[in-house]
Amino acid sequence: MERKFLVSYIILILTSLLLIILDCSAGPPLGGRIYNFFSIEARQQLNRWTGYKDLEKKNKSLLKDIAKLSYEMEIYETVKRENEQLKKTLEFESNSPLDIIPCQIVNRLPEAVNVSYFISKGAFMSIEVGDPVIGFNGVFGKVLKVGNETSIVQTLMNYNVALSAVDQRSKVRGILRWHRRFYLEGVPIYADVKEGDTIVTSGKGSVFPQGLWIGKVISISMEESGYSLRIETEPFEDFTNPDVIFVIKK
Amino acid sequence: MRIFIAFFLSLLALSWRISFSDVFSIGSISFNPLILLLYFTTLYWNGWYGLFLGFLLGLLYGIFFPIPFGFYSLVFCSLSVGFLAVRRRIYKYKYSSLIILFIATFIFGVIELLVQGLSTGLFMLHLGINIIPESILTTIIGIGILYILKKMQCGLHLNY
Repeated sequence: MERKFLVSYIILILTSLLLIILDCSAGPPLGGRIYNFFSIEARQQLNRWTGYKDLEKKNKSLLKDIAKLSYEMEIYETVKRENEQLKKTLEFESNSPLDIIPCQIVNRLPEAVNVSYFISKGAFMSIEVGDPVIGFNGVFGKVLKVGNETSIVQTLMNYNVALSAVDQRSKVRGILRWHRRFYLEGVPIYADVKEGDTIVTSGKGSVFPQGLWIGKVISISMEESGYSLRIETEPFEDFTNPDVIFVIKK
Repeated sequence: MRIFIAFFLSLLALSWRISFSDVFSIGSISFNPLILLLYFTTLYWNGWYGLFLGFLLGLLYGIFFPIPFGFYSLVFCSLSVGFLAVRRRIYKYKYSSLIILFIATFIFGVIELLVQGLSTGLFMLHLGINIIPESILTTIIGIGILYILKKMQCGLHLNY
C-alpha cells in the first residue's frame, strides 16, 4: 500500500476519533443535532420559504385585483356623478316654470379676464344670440354667439356686462357690473339696502326675465363721488367650474 | 466530475439504506448498499475515492443514529483500507473474490448490532435472521454487479 494512502488513512482515522471524542465531551450528540437541523429546522425553513412564495404570489394577485377594482371604482364614481348630474338637471328642468334647454359645458374660452364657455347646443336646438342663461343657483350669463351645434355663453364675469337688477326686499334698482368683483351701481345713498338682501333680475332690458336670482349683498359703502352707494354682491352661481347650464327660450 | 458521481452515488446508497431499505426487502432481508458501494468503488474504481467516500459516507450515516459522530467514518475508512489490503492477494474479477464483500458486510452488521447494545439472545437472533441473510443477499447482488463489470471489461477489450 502506498505511503501517501496510509498517511491519508491515518489522518482520516484521527479525524474520526477526534470527532468521536468531541461528540462525547459535548452535550447532545452532534449527529442528532445535525439530523434535527435537517429534519426539523430545514423543513420549517423550507415551509416558511414556500409560505413566503405563496404569500408573494397572493400579494401580486391581490395587487392586480386592487388595481382592477380601483379602475372599476373610478368608472363607477364617474357614472354615479353623471347619473346624479343628469338627475339634478332633469329635476331642475321639470320644476322650472320657464322653457329651458339644458346644455353641457364643453370648454372654456381662452380669455384671460372675461369668463366665457362653449356649450353643447346651438342653432339646431333653436338657441339664439342673446338668450339668457341660468345655472342651478341663479343667473349665469347670456348667449354671445351661436353655431349649428355649439354656442358661446358669456358669463356675468365680464367687463362688458351690465345687468339691470333689483333688491328683492326693498325693490331698489341698480346696474350689476363686474370689476373683478360684482357691484350694484347707480343706487342712491338714501336707498334702503341692507347686507344679506337678495338681488334678482329686474326684468327691465331685453335679455333676462324678472325675478331670477343673482346673488346677495355682502357689503355696502359710499362711492368716491359721494352721490351713490357701492354695493358689493356675491353671486349665487359658481362661474368657475360649471357642468350644466340652462338656456332660457324667450 | 468523478467526485460528484461518487458523492451522488453515496447519497443514493445512503437514502436507500435509511429510507427504502424496508421497501426493497425480501421479507425481513435487505441488502447493504453502503458496503456494496464502498467495495466496488475501492476495488474497481479508485482506492482514494473509496477511502474518502467511506469517510464521507460514515459522517452522513452517523447522523441518523444516536452514536458518537465520526464512529461510522472510522468503520468505513477501515473497511476501505481493508479492501485495499487484500486487493493484491485476490484476483478481483474472480467471483470467489466476493467472499471479501460477504465478510465486510457481516463485520459491518455485527458492528451495528454491537452498537445497539442488545442482549446476547437478541444479538444472536438478529445475527441469524438479519445479518447473515443480508450478507448473502449483498454478495448475490455483488455477483450481478461483477458480472456486468466483467462484460464491460470484455466490451472495452473488444473495442481496443
